[in-house]
Amino acid sequence: MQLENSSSPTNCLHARAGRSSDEEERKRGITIFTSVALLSYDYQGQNYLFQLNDTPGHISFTGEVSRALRGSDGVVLLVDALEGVMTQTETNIRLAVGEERCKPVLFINKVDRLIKELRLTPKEVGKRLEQIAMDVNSLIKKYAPDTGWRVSFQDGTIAIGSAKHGWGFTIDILKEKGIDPKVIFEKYEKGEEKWLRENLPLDEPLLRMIVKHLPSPKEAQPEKIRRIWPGDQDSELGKAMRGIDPDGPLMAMITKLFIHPRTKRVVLIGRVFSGTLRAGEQVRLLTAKRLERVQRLGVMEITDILDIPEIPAGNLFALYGFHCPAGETIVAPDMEGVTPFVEIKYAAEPVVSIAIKPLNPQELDKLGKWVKLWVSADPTAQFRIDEETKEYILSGIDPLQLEILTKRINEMVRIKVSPPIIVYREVPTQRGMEVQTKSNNALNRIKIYVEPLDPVTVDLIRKGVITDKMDRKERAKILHEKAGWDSREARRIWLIYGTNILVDNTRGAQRLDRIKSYIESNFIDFCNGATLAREPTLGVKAVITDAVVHTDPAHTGYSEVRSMVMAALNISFLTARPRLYEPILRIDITTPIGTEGQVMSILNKKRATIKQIQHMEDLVRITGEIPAAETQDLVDLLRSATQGRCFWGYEPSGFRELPKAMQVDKIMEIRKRKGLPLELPQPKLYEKNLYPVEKWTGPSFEI
Amino acid sequence: MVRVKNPDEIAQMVRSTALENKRIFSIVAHIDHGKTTTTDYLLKRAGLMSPDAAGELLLTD
Repeated sequence: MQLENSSSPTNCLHARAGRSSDEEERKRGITIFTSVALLSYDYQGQNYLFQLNDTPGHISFTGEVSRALRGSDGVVLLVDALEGVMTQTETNIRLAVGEERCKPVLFINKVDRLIKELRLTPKEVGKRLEQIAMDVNSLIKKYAPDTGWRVSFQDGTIAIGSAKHGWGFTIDILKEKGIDPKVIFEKYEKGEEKWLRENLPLDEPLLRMIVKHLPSPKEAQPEKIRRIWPGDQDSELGKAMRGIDPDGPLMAMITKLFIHPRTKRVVLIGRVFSGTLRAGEQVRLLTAKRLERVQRLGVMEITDILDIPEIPAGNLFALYGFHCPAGETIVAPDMEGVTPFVEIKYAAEPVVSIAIKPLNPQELDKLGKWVKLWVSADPTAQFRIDEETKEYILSGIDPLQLEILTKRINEMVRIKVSPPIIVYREVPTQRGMEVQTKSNNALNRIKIYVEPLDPVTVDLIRKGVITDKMDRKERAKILHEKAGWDSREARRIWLIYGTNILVDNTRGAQRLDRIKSYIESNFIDFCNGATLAREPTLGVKAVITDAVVHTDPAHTGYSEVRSMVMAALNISFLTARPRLYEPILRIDITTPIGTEGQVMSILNKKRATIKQIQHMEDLVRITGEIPAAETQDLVDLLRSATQGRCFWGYEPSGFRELPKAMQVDKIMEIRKRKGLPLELPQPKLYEKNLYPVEKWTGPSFEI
Repeated sequence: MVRVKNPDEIAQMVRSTALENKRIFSIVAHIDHGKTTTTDYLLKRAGLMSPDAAGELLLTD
């Protein structure tokens, strides 16, 4: 893979990891561990079978994480004893415990570092561990208040230890073995880690916690079905799923795509909720609406499928034979029309993009195939083709995600990669003028205005409460009740695209339906690249208030519709006081006492806002927000200021208006990069399509 | 230690209807908190796999 600017993606990687020493470990881990693994454990005379359902390690893949978790009933939360609860820990608890309702147990890892590196006393270690347990419990309570779930040392739902040194325990194991916890300190003092590994092996507490405290499919699935399947719970299918009936109707879900590192074959991972999946049989893909054949079926082993011809309800499976995005519902061929599982909600709002193209121009089609495949595996990534440069533009929620995506793609097709570019948003901040335009042939007219979508509606879209596909009446009811929409207008929504809405509020406009799809597709184009700098829009509500459509379809073609719709949208948008908004990251820094002053001064120079400063024994934790654009050299600055001793993580946290003084410069910078004229766009540019007079007489656009 | 069983035995365990003896779970962690080390450890200590996969696991060491 060629990188035009090789330093930045590596920077991002370091930024994420906080330090690079574990990078090797991560690489090694990827080669050994895959996606699902079977484990076996004997406890009190019973043999238990575990299906360990791996989730992507990187938080960029929140979409992938949620889907993988949909296949699981319980979760082991793993927290570093030294770093404690960090931003991503919170995200993980929100996703796993809050949204996917996986019951938690806790493993506090790297306790060796408290003893060996920080040289804490047993009392101090105890205090540190108590604090982590409290922090975790308050997050569980915050995101799943109704469950009553909590973890505790006494109940044996918390294990502590060191995966690196292979030891760990829960309180009950320690009691059983009659070992005093002070022994751990003694053994480290004497350098006898081997004793710990042999006498307190880590698999025992982990597997025992899972057996004793995480639910079996039998306990967990009925509740899971109630949450992920909106169909009639008392129907035959509902009962079969809640009862995990292997003889019931087939109902399975694809939870992730696994691409074999060597053969590049795509294996679909999923869970059977009722009925039995069989190799060689045909299945129906409910969302894709097509039939496919299962060629191979079984469970994952390292990187290959171990063939098992029949997988009954209550199990994960691996199958080979066709491609589909994660989230797909798989049923028997004769089950057309049954209710699919609910879509997983995620807010994919790309904040960074890169352009890629094949080193060998003849491999453009081949590249397209792999881009589509990988992007379908990652629901928070998007792609489009730049028609002029023939480059694929990949967008995602952070630079490292794109780095991993391009690495995956580069394994299939050698590519050239541009440096990551921050994606801004164009946002209207007041209601724009109602603009009437005509098509180039002057035979059609339309009247449109653009205004900011209210924050409540934007939030409803982001949370997936209202979607483009949902029932129109139900959506209108929610918008009316929760966001105060006019009922008629709410029923007349044509399209929800991103966080933007197109409404047909015309009365008695004839033949408008004939050009509806053209108008929608132009609205989508506008939302993907608006007037200021062809950046995507955020929270645009465009309302069509009147239209005249020519009787002869020969005069209402795509380009005629486009000429009037684009002119109206652009002009109205320019009168809606549009501004650039920039992506903001939530940042979470833990740094040794004494270095926090330097860290704060760096953050201040980077336009960051500090939310909280928390003093722990020997560390200071600083949380706040920082513009994504300011994080480029942040790693290096923080490193040198703290001699590499600070840890940090970040995650996307929405958008904020770019300061006034930076607006015009940034718009020009983006326009220059995109080869657009280096001046602020003006309504006048579109005046030849104005109706009835082809002249813009309103104010010119300024910032 | 890794439990090596022939594929038929593994298939039988997966197809077992004793659901109360099954657990389907995930491990989640902040990056670098040690998820990979922990899952690798579990796989090597308690992994259930066919002779082929066990061979591959050894090779990756």
